[in-house]
Amino acid sequence: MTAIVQLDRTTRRFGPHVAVLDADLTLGPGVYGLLGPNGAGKTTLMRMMAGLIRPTTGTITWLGGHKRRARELDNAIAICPDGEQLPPRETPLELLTLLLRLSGVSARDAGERAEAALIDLGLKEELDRPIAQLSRGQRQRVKLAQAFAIPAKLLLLDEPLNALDPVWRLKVSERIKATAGSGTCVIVSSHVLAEVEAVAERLILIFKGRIVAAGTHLEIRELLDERGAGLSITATEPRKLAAALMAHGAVTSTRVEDDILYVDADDMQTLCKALPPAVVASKTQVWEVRAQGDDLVSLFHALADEVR
Amino acid sequence: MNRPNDPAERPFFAPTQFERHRGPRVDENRSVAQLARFFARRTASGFGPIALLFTSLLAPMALWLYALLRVQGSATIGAAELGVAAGQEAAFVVENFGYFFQAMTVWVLLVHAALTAPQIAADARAGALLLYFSRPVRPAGYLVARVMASAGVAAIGTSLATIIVVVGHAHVFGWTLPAGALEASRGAISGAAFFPVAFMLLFGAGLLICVASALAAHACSSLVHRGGQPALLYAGAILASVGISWAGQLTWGRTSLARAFDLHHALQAPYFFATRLLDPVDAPPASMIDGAIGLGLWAAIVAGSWWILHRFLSNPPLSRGRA
Amino acid sequence: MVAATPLCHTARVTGAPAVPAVPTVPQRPGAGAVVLTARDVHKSFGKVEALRGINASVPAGVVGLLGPNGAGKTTLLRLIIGLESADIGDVDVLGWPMPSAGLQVRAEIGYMPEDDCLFPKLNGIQQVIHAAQLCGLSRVDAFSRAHKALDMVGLGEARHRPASGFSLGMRQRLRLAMAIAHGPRLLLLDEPTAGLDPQGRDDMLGLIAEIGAAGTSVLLSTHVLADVDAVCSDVLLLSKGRIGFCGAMEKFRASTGGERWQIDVMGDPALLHDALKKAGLSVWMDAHLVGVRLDAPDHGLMWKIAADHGIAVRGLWPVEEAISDAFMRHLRLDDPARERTASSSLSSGAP
Repeated sequence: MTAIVQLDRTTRRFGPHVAVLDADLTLGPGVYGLLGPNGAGKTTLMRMMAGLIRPTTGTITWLGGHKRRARELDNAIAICPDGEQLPPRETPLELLTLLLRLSGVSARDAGERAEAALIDLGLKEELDRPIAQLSRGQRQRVKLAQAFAIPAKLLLLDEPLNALDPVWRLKVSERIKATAGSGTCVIVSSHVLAEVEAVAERLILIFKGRIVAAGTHLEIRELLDERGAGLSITATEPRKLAAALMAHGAVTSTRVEDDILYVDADDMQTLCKALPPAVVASKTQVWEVRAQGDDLVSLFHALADEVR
Repeated sequence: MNRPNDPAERPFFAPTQFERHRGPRVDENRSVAQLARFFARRTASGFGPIALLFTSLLAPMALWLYALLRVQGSATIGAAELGVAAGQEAAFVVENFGYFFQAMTVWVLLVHAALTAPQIAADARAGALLLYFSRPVRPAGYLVARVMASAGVAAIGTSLATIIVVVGHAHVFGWTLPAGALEASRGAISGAAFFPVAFMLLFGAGLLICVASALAAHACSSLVHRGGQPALLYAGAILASVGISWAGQLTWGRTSLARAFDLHHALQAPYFFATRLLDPVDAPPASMIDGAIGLGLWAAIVAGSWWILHRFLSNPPLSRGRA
Repeated sequence: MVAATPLCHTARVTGAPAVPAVPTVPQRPGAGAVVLTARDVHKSFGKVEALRGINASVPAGVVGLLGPNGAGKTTLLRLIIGLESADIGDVDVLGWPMPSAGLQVRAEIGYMPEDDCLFPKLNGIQQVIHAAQLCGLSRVDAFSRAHKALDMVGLGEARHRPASGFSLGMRQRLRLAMAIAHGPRLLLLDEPTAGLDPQGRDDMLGLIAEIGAAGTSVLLSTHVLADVDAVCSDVLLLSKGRIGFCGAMEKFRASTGGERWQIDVMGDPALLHDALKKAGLSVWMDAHLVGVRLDAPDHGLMWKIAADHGIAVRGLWPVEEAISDAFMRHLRLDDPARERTASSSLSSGAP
């Protein structure tokens, strides 16, 4: 896999404040979900990867070994930033044409490509209206259009689905997956975990400037398992099942609340392996089994405690 | 393992059960008064507004200094020491009151430019109008509260100054003017009624000025919303009218109709008409036509401002940006 | 596309049950368990028809208001608040007719706008007290309820700082506190989780669930389907000015017969897959999950097979239609050729 962007012990400080610390990443084609609480350093990391700011220490290498944001890269990196930063009096077509020309596209092509990109995002009627008159969702799509208009190798999207209605959220998610499928490295930062997971194959978790986990969600799940094990089980006779599990010796504690059985153990593998025999032995009907804390919010909690 | 949805484990706050409100509720009229009191407190809070309110005392102080200058060398202040001829006392007092009133009008306009003009614009910028009108507040109620509050705050200054000026003059000339003092004026008032009537005229006219200019300032606030624009629009409109009036006077003479188009002058028209009760001989404006135009402008300011505000509030800007 | 995503499984957020609340304002007869009734409501803005014949009976509970942009959600919310009035048709909120009973209704509803709205120059606690007083509470009541509301949303010492200096998440919590301080019977929330980080979203959804459990109805207007999935008991879907769906969450999703299940195992799922297939069950793979068709008696068999093969089972759940699929399906049903006339339904009934 050719790395599209690579970070080596990259650190960025703003005065005494460390925004990103010792980031080590090698990213190739595909969709990466960048997740983290507010203030964790996601925006700074994205801006560094876009070449907009330089790291204080460490290096960032883009395709073909470019260590700096060179002219050749202009057409290869695109960013859709967070926040409302569009000029109010320009029309979407004017704005995109200008941005494409700044990226080195010829005058003739720029106009055509801008129009195509905007129509792709459903802005056919709004091509010539001043941006100030567009709704929030339409403005978001203008921002997305300028990111998708360039056939970038590295595409950075900060909260791309913000302000979009469910229909457009699905369409843009499909577009992101299609773009990655054609060899682009797409990095999506979002707070809606369900949507990130639907679109990203791999996740990067950042907390207080540090990258605490990176990998597919199965790999990250193993990280969760290392921090303790637990299951929540909905069954017809939870207490019998609890007794059966205790008998197997796999659990450290159980409790039943609202007819749901919560089980804690030291090791996930042992616990899960003990479950089927326990179910058979207790002869209960089991309707649902979920791994405890099997969600990113809990992972952040756990990792947050560690980083502190 | 942590269950973040478990209320007992949430940081920061005790798990309070959400309860519905079971207490009494305030009725609508009291709520408008409550809102007016809130607006008044916000208008008059802070060092700036309080300092501005204290400047209402400048006019009485100026009159006092003027009196001191005229009685140089004398131990008491009386009609003779001030050089007022017998029989001219009422005319002198009315003239002083006239100067005082003009100064008070300028003061009220400044106060409204500084304190009142930014208010509705600030609400519109902050999106507060949506917060008000999604609650049981009628647009008319909001407007009445705003006008009551800002006019009320200015009225505190004008009332205080009026009291000081009237009491001061009454103290110097005597609370009851002798019949001879009123001769030159040939007014319809008896000596005993002079100061009370003068006080009511000044006080009432001051209130009217406060209300009329508050309405105009709020109207400017509803037309433009950015930064200092409402105050600039308000002050600009008044200064422009003064400028036009002076230009007209320079071209066609001082006592012409041109004088009547000065907005600052128009606001004072009701008072000067009323002082004919106290001194018909010397009461400006010089002609009935000037006075009538002035009153007409006054009515136009009040009616126009009300109309602008009504239009604004029936379709207010509720969102800060389009959704 | 029905693969579940274990890492982001949000267990349905349920608030702690509270003492049933008794309303202080006398309810109009017939208000019952319905918070909003719309009868043949039409509303246009110039040439644009925002609502074209809405008929709905929205039940008490936490109701998700969904729809694409331009579907009429904002217009409907404004009709409920009384900022607009319907051109044709009637709207009843909490039993009161709108817009004539506007003042009474606005005292009983709370609105958390999408926009960043604040009263200028007040600090956090003053904002909430002022908001509560505007709804008719006395100063004393407003003071104590404001502090309780701010405790509930998690704004601690920050409440004494100027509200204009708050971060986005804090402002969002403040707006929620302002909407609930006067104890409304119906709470209207417009994109309450916008811009919040995952922890903040979780907190906000938990608060919404708690408020719903305390007896206040919530109408949650949002574009984030995951939020609706997490807290809502009912759904009202608008599309192009008409009702696409109005009913319980269970009915919103297509029924899958309750027999299709997904199993999450540790290690290689192929082992379980092959074993179940050999046992004669209908199996398939959904990414790394094993999908299997299990009728009631088959459950025991499945567990026995897992036990015999030493398979570690970490997840088991019934397959549900993804909420985004349900959403798209209901949108396509909104065909002008099929007029939906009486589409009202309470939680129990519907076809």
